[in-house]
Amino acid sequence: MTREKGNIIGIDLGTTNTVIAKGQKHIYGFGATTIEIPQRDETGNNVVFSKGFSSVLYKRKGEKIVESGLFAKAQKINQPLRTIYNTKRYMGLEHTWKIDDMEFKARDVAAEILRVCKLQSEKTFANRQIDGVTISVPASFTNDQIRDTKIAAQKAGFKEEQIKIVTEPTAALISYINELSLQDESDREIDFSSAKRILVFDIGGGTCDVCIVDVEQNGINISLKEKGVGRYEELGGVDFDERAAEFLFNKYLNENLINPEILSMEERAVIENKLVAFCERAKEKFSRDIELFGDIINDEKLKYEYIFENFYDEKDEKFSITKKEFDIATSSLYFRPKVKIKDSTQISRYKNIEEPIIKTLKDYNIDVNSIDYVFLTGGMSQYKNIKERVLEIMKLNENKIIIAPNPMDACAIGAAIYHYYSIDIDKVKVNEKPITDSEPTERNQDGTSIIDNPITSEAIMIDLVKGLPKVVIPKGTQVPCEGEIIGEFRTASPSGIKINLYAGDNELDSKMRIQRAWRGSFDPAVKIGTPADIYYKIDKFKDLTFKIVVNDGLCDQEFELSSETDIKFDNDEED
Amino acid sequence: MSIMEDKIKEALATSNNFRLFANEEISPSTGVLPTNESENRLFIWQFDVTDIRSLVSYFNEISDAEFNNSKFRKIKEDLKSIGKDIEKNNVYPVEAILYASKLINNRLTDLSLRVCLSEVIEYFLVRNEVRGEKVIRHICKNWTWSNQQKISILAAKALNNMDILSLIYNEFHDRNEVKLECFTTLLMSGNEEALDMILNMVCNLNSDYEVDVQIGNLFANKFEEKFLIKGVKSVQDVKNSRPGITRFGRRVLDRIGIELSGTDIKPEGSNLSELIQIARRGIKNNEDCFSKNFIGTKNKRKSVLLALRYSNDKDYASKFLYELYNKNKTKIDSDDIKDTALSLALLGSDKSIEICRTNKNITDIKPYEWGARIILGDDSVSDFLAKDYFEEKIGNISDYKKIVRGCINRNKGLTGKIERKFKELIVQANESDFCKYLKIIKNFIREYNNIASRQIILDMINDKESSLYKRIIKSSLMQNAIINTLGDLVNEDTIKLYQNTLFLIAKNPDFNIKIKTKANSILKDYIPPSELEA
Repeated sequence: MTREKGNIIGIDLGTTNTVIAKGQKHIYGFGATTIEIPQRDETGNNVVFSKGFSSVLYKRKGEKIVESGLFAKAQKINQPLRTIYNTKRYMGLEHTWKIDDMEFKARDVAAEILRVCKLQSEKTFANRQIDGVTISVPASFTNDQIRDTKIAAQKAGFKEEQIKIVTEPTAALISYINELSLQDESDREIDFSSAKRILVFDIGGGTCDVCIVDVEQNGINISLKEKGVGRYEELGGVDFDERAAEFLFNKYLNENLINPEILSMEERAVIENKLVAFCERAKEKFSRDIELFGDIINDEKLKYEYIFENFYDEKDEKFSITKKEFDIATSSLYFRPKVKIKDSTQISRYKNIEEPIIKTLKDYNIDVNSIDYVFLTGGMSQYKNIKERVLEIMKLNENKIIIAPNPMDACAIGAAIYHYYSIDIDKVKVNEKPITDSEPTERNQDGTSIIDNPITSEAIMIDLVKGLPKVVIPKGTQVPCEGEIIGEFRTASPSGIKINLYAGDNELDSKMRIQRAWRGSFDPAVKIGTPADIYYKIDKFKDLTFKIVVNDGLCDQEFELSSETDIKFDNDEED
Repeated sequence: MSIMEDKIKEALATSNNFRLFANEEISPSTGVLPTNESENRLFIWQFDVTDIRSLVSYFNEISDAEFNNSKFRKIKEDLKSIGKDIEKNNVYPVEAILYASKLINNRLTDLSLRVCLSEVIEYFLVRNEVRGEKVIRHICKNWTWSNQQKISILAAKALNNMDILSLIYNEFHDRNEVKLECFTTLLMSGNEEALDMILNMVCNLNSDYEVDVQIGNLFANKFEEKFLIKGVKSVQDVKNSRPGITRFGRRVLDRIGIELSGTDIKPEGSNLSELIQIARRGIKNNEDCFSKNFIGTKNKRKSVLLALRYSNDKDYASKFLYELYNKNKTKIDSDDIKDTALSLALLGSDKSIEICRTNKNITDIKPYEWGARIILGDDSVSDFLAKDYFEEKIGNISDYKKIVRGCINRNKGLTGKIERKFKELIVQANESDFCKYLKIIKNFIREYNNIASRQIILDMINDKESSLYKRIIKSSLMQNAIINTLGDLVNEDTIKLYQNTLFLIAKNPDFNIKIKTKANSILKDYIPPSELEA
């Protein structure tokens, strides 16, 4: 049983930055504050305290340990081949990075960062144990990606029963609504006493989520119902930085008459990292300046400059970029391409913020006019042009857009609050009434509650020996859910079964993605044609468990696909 | 301005939008590059739902069709046309076609159908090789559907691109279900850079596996034709220098270069494949070449006798061969006489029978006379051939294999007669003959892939009341012979036929424990796990 006043944290495990918040109860209700993390500064000589820390791993030559945070981030520039970053996009995949003799998958990088989070959080709780952690993930993360996140948290030392997952848009909304609920009703920006449909547009460092949620506040009860979730879009602040860096790189080559072909891979990686870091700082400066001075300064005069020592060929180089140049270089990221891109290897070149919004509305058949507000969150949402373009796409007035008060912290704070609800719920379960699957009410001790109804953003399909994959869990299924498929499937080999799962709209979807591949052996052998029944369960964190029961009349043979039995990609099957 | 500056400007002009990020697939940068990149997208090309629907409906339409050459021609035309329509939307159609072909997976055990589809894929690969290479690479690395991979691998020979051939070798050379296609593509590419990979596969062949036997046969039949003298020399080098060649691998390698004797290598007309090509072009202007080789070494003579069978002018070839024989009959041995008779029969000449009769002194020439008569249309002796095929009272099994190979397509009843004779003999056979007959019929089944013959073996076990069954359950030797035969014949295509018998053995108290365990292990180990059926 969880303690009443547990040590609760929320973690926004971001592509570029990670933020931790600790939950708090106070006389008005509950809340959360971010935890400042001590870390070595860029020089490595001083310790500074910062709200978040960079999701970068750095391994010093000859040492067995890795470091993350500001100092690690600084090494992206000078020692890019000893750093690993932006790996959140590879959660759920088997990509492997190697520095010296240490190998990392995306989940290992996440585990290392979460380990630091755990350690630092424990310090703020006077070295007491953490009782519960909620990690926010993109709403469109698939169950593979969620599973990797949970595995990473366990590797970091959190116990399985302590870990909760919440989607980033939900966390950001909870943070916002929680803050509203602390205000007088008359002061509130939005009146949620009648249901409001919110399109959450969450654009962070590396991921972009679109989520349409119906929100309603009835007294002290808040209901959040997901109506549509955009597919995982690998788009975020880093893409803007990279486009601008590419612009600067071409400019630099032309001005210095350097033939790009002579650059080695390592030289190119160093230049790339320097310029991307430069553009990231430029973007942050532009946002700060606009916040301070409003629109007084012309885009051509908003400028960022920096001198790189020993930039290339032992020469120092001064770089500068104006906001206008930055916006021109990144302009394609705001608009859908005029021509439909059919080669998926080219898609990253044409990604944009318009497509996920339009597609989510279309996929879930949601009328744009039914959207009451757009809620902008995530680090990149602070950039003025994003807000303007989203308004343009949605054809909304400025008063219909809400920008999360602290977009960098909102997810972590919301995650911490979310976990708080969950703790109290355990008590409700015991003392009051059980929670039904169809309406997972999470009730606070004071009587406040959140009804959170997430839905799956893609269908889950199972491969067949003959025919196209078959949908077993349709897209848009409300979770948590469980079900069984009896009498539809039969075995096709006497030695075992091979389960390949795919995710996509349906079996005709060319954007279908390969999910888990798994094989199990029968013992004893089973006749071809023996019935194989499927039992599945998706918990409220979208974690999928899949069970196949094969019964040949003599005995049941059960195969469960879960994180414990996990799981190889089929490429490894010959091992 | 210096010349160097001019050159740089020129380079820059052509790389106006030079990509800073060397690997677009790894974007954004991750610092150190990943050592292995896993991929989770199923398709590179984003076809429209309408595209895939038209393919789905087409494959559903042909899923129960009867396949023959004219149907294959029609399928090729239709799929090319649907594919070209998809191309109009700027989508490369290869993935969509292959994906939709999963609907007829149960029919894709038919090699001819796979070849038909591979020709469709080849057509699109050739139309755009850059896209083709990318798609084949994606399918080989990321798809798990072996039928579709088999088709892609076969089609990939059209690209004849060494990178792709290496990829195919690396991904598939040791995967039993696709290694035949992998080997076929490497071999048929004729690409000398692929020689090491081909010979490496051959060196590791194991006769216990049917697919390895097929690879061995393919190698023996096609290698010289594709790689000529350079290939033959490579085989000799491998034989002389490589350690660890399997016994079967060495036997297969030994079938190459039989024309080579010592250092006597001639550039033209000195090996079987060249002689076959010459025979196809015509004998008339090349008589000298055949005559000289005929009086050369024994191996060269053997090549001449085989090559002449490929002549397009059978009358002329048979007359020429008969003259050649008559001129040299005192210089050649009994094997050459037997081969001459068989070649003449295959060329349609009754001189073959005459040769057999005039050489009665050769003790094992009788089966060749039967063979010649069967080839020339006389069915009255096929029972004799079928009987002695098993008993080997006159000839031996290597003679019979040659004779049956010559006769089988010219006498439709011969297969049935061999099966009936086997049934008849096996009932009364003693333990040792039982094992021998079973081995012969197993090899016959493997070579001619006859379903009815496969059933015969199952009938021996399934009829528990038969006297044969009662003998089998008392003899470990006979049980062992049966289970080994089943083990050799079971594969993914035949498992449905054999599974009941194997389960019957595995659960039957009449069989000894070792045999039951082996039956279970065949079921569990010989057939890989598979996806479910709906």
